Amino acid sequence: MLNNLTHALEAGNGRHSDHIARDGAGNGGHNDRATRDGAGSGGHNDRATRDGAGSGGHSDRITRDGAGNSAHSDRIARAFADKKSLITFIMGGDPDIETTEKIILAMNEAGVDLFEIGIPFSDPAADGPVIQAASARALETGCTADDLFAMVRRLREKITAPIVFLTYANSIFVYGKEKFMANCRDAGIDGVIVPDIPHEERDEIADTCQKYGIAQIALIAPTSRGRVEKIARDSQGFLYCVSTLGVTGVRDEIRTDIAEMITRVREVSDIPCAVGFGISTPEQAREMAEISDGAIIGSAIVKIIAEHGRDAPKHVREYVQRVKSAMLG
Amino acid sequence: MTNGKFGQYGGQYVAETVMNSLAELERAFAHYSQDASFQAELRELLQNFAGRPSRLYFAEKMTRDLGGAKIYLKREDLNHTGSHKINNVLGQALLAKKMGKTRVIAETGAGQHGVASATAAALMGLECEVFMGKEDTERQALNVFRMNMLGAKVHPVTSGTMTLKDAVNETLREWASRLNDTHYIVGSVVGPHPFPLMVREFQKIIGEEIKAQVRELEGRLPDAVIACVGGGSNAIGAFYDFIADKNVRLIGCEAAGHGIDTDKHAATMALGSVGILHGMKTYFCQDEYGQIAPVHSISAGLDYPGIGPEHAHLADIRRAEYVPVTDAEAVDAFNYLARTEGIIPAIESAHAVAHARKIAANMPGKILIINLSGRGDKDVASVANHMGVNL
Repeated sequence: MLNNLTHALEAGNGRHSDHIARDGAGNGGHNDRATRDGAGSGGHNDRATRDGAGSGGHSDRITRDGAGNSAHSDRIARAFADKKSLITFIMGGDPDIETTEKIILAMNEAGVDLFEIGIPFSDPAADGPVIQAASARALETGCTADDLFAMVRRLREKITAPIVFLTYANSIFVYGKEKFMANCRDAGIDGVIVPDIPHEERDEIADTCQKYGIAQIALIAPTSRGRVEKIARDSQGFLYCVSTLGVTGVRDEIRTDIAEMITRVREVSDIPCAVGFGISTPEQAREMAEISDGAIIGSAIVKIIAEHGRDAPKHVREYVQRVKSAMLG
Repeated sequence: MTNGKFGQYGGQYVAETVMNSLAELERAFAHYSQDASFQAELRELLQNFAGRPSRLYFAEKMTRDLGGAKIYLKREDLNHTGSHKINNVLGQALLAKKMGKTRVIAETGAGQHGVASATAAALMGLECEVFMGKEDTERQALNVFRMNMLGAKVHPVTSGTMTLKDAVNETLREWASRLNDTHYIVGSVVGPHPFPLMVREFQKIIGEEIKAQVRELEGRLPDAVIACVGGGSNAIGAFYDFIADKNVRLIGCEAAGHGIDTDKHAATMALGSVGILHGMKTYFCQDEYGQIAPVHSISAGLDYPGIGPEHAHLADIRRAEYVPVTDAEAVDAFNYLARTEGIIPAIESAHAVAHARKIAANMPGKILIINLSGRGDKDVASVANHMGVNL
C-alpha cells in the first residue's frame, strides 16, 4: 500500500511536468477564433518572458499575453489591461433567465470588466448559504446549461467584456466535455472556473478547453502553501485568489495576507490575479484591487437579487456603480 | 491504483482550499500504516474496545429453511456501537490524534457513523460535531440522542434533500472553513483520495477475519460474500481480501426503494451514470445535466446517490456484481432474520439478507456469507411505521 501511495505521489509529479511541457509546447487549435474576433493582437504567439532571458528554452515565466493563448484570453487580457478589473458573479437563472440577462446588461453599463455566470447545481459544496439558495431558486425555474448557452449567445451581441462560467465539474462532465466546450466557444464564453477541479485534476478538462480555446481559470487559496507556483504557471486567463478559508459568502473582514499571496504568484507568473470570496463593500473591493489586479464580488450581488427579484437590475446597477467608482477613486 | 484512482474512478475533485490537508492526510496515513506502534495501538482498540474479531456465525435455521447454501453471518452488529463503522472510526480518530488534530467532524446517514465518531471522540478526548440530514435526525432520533449523550454536537442539515448527501456537502463546507485543528472522519469509502483507500484499509479487517474464520470452520473459502452497499464501506471491507480469489462471488446489494421501475430508489449501479461529486468520480443517480437526483430508501444509511469509486471499478471489471433490493424485501428480511435466528439486523444489512434469501436455494453445497453490518435496534420504529404499526 505504501508503494501505491508513493507511486501516486510520483505520478502526480509526472503529470505536473506534462502540463508544463504541453503548455509550453504550443497552442494550436484556436486561431479560428482569433481570426473571427479580429483580435489580431498577434501577441499570443510570442511567449516573451518578463526577464527577457530569450534563451530559446522553455521558460518558467509566462507573460500576460502568453498566459492564455487564444481569443478568449485576448478578451480576458483586455479586461485587465491598464486597469483594476471589477469582476462580478451572479447565478444564471436566478430569479429567471430574463432577469439574469437584464442584470448582466445593467452591470455592463455600470462598468463591470468581466462577468462570471454560475451554472446552478444541486450540490454546490463550495458555496455558502447565499449562493446555495440562488442555485436552488434557479433550478426551481428549470434553468439548464442550454438555457445559459442561449442567453450568453444573445448577450454576446451587446457585450464585449469577457464572460466566464463558474460551474461544478459535474455540470461539464455529465453534459459531455466536448459538447460543453464547443457550446462555450459558439456562445462566446471565454473561460471556465471549476472550483472542484484542483490542479491535480486539471487534465479532466484541459485538452477540451485547449481544443475550443476556453481558458481554464485556476484558483489559489490561503492554504495553497507550496502549490502556488505550479497552479499559477498553469492557470489561463487570470488567477482566482480565494481570500479566506471556507465557502463563498460575505465576510466582515479579510484577514489573509493577500499581498503575500500575490507576491508568490509574481515570482513565477505575470498572470492577472483577482481576489474573491467575502468582498462586499466598495471599500473592500478597492483595498483588494489595490494589492492585486482585480476584485471579484459574488454573494453581495446575489443577496441584492434575492431581495429584489425581478426588480434587481436597477439595484444591482446602482451597487456596482458605487463599487466601480470606489475602485477608480 | 495510481493517483488515487480505481480505474477511471476516484480522484480529488475538491476545492483548492482543502488540497494541502488531503496531502497532509495522505502522508500521515502512509506513515502510520507502516508504523508498528500505531498499528499495535489500533489493534488493541479494535480488540478490547470494539470487541474484534467479530464472530462468524453459522445460521443453521436459516440454512435449513432456505434449503440450499450453507449460510454464515459475519456479526459486525456485535461490535461496540453496533456496526462496522467503529473499525474505520477508531483508525481515523487515532490518526487524527497523531496528526495533532483536536476536533473531528463527520457526516452521518442512519446515525451509526455519527455514533461511532462520537464514541471514538469521547474515548480519545477529541471535540466532535456531526452533520446529519434533518430528515434523518427525525427518522433516527434515538441515534441523535446517543450522540448527544456521548458529548457530540449534532447539526441538522436543512439544505437540499436534507439527507446523507447534503450532510456530506455540509461537512465538506465545515472542513474547508476550519482545517488546522479539524479532521473530517469520512464514514464510507467515498470522498476525495485518500479517503476511499484509507477507509477500505481500515475496513478490510472484516474480510480478513472472514477468510481465517471460514477456513477454520469449513477448511475452504466461501462461494459468495454478500453485503449491502450505500457508499459501500462494509461491502468493500468484506470483499477486499477476496478480490484475488476469483471463485468467490462478491455481491453488493443496493437500495431499490420502491423499485427500480419507479423514481423512488437509491440504486446507483442499476440506474446511475458516471459523474463527479463529493470529491470523486463514480456512479451517481442524476439527470442528463448532472443534477443529483433525490434518492429514496427506507434505510437512511443506503439513502445516498453515489457509490464508492472502488465499487464502480469492481463492477466495470466484473469482479463484483451489484443487485437492487427493495424496501419491502428488506423489511421482510428484517422480520425474517429476527424470527428465524433471533437476530434483528440493521435495515441496511437486511438488504443483504434479502438477496441471500433469493439465491440461497439455488446454491446447494455452497457456502454463502452475509456481512451483517449492523444491528437493527435503531430501525424498529421505522420498520413499524413501514408496516403500518403505530408504536
